[in-house]
Amino acid sequence: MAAEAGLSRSTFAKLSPHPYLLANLEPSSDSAAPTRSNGRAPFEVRKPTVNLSSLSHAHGSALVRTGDTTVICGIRGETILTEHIPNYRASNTQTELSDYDLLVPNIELATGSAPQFLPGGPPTTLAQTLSTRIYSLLHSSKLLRAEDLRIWHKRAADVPIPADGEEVMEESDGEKYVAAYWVLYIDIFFISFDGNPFDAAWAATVAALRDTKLPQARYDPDREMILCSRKDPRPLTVASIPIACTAVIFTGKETKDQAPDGKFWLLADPDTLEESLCNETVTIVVDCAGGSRRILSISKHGGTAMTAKLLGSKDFLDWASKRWEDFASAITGTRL
Amino acid sequence: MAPPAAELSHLPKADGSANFSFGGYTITAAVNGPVEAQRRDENPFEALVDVNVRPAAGVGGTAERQLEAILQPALRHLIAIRNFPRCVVQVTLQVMEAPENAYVNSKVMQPRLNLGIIPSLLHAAMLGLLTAAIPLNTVASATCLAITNATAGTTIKVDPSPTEIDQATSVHVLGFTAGRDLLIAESEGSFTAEEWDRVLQTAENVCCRGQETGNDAEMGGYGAESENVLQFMRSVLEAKAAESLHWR
Amino acid sequence: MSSETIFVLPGDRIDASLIPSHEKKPLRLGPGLRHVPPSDLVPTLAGQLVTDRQKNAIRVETANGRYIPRVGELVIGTVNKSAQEVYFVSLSDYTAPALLPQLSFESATKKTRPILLPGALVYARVTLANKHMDAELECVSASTGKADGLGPLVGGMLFTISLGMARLLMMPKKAQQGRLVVLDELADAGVQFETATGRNGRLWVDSDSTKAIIAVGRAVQETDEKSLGVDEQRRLVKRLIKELS
Repeated sequence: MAAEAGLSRSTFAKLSPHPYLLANLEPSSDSAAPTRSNGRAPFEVRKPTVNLSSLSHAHGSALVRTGDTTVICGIRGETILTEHIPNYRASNTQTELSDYDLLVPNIELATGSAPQFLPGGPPTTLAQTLSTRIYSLLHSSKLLRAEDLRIWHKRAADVPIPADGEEVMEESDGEKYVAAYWVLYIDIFFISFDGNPFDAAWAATVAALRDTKLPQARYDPDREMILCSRKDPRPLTVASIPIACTAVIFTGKETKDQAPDGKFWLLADPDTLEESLCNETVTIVVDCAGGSRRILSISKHGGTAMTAKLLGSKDFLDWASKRWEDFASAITGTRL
Repeated sequence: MAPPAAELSHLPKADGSANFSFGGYTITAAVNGPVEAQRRDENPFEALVDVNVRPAAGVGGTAERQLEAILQPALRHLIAIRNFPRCVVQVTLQVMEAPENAYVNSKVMQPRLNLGIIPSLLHAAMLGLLTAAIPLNTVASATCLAITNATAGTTIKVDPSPTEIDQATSVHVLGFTAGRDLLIAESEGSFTAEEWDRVLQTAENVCCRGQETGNDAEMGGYGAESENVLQFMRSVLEAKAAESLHWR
Repeated sequence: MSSETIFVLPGDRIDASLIPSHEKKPLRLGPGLRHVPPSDLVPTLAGQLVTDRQKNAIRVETANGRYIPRVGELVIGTVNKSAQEVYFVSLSDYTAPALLPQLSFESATKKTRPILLPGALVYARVTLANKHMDAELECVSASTGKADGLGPLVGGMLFTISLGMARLLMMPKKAQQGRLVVLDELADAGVQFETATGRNGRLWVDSDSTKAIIAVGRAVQETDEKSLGVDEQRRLVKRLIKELS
């Protein structure tokens, strides 16, 4: 129909993206299946590819690509002595990760990853929101164990010990205590940005954490510092693989005043164009490891087309499980 | 728990203002608009909605930005933004009081999102918008729920205290419009699909209970002792309208 | 006017019996109502639903908020700046200015048009109010060519009042039902002054003595802010008169 009006397909798409997407989703002939402007079916996602350990200087890293969204996540461990933590309490064994800020995520939307990101200036609202979401999900999903980040030390006994017999003696006397912690700096960098940043950034974070190997570290009481050795680094224990699944809701109308029985489309894994045309987004974070499905987070805002019934429906949850399988196999597959 | 309390139009310079307190939170909302938008931000077809959350102490950080990111689309959906092209509606939400939590270090940067504050922020913003006489499509209310896994089984607590939120396995905030449409959903923790179903139903009961019938006696089930927030908002606004339109 | 007061919130359902139905006159929707095809009326404001069965009109009455121009309403504007053919007139703070053509004054021609400097006040009628365009004003009736009291306001002072108070001041005495006596009481006490009220929440007061101007303006503002009853208004006036003399 665009051709009849004297407009080429691409002109129509550029001039009025909203009707263009609608025309694609609601084809005039029955033979054509509804597709999105990017050629995908409404529920079709971009296939993720994951590349682990691509950075040589980080303790762990992962590059995740879904379509034209490419994210690299690098994890770098630094040590901090417990005596340098102002609010340190030895009795605290439950909330160390959050109380001492042992996980420090940061997101950078690189200049040039998408036209809207300009050089200079403070971090955009999007970058701030993304890093808060990653930060709170890292803690609420209980992805990491504090034990992996503790650096233990056995206090030497009062009797001076000969240097060569140190290890033998320490086991017999001297009490074991946490001398220091690893702090994980999680830097997430968008190389290219085409919608759905959270899913990709979170997948990159999980993949990078699974890839992370921290060096063996011990406390040297004489020099009061941590010494690390390159020999057999220790991987982190990341048992679960939570995966974020985002979809936007396209109502087919530019105005919000839609009929209550208004038709709408759920577009999975949206690109930038689709995100700009839709007000309502839903993100669900699931973990299906071990056969049972746990929901770790649901976040939906911007509209009311996505009803409570639909949000709890089997179709939607099954879609999330399917996407979990894709991502989980991409993350674990390359490692095997 | 103390019933909700509100004070309307108490700021003389703002177009609309409201003070809303519930569950230990006190929020002051100031609404200005529709005013002219800055040339570089203006949208030729609809009004911008600018939500600004200010913490009780210090300047806003990334956590406040995320609260804004949750509230802004919800308010944008409620406000008749297409009536005011090239305009902006500013909603400033100042946290006046937040409940103290003796069990948690009072760090500035809390790692978990402060879900418990969202209902109060939304209700304060609603009252502010209504006193500013900004046309809305409908009204909405929200509630916070916490699931606790005890030995006796899982229980859902409506309007949990910060301590209860801390000990919960999952925390949920759900907002519904007066027409029973789900407007906001924010959950974190770990839960199953069955628990999610129960949460949705409980929240809908809490937010929309007895408003079609307008019958207070019919309050059963969860949190029956607390007044429905929508009914509360209606009554304070009605009293305010009766006072300021007393000459009618 | 209907005696029963019905309070509505945005999105409420309005009972069909409340909507006036007149055989000939078309239904007129005032502010605060939205028509949802085919035949539903949905309130968009929180306020009292007011129906006028004679005029076949229905609206939602509110007292607060920011002024939104509507055609035919009388407003007091402040001239911001002058352009080639129009004055830019501000009706409320931080909103887009309204346009007042320089020739739309009584018997104004290219030569005789009034020169208004920035800061000058005008009493004008809204002639165009459209969400996509800046509002337009006039100081002369287009049909008769007479000013009808519109035009520049010289001297005096401008006071800000709520939209509800402005509406009350502009109502005919009968409709006020004696609820607002503060101005009459002041006049009866021998204070001489002149007022003009704009629907945009502006009250202009002029008098020979500056003291009287401030007393009158403050009296109305106080009545507005504290929603004073008739007796309290009388007491307020008594106190002011004592301070004036």
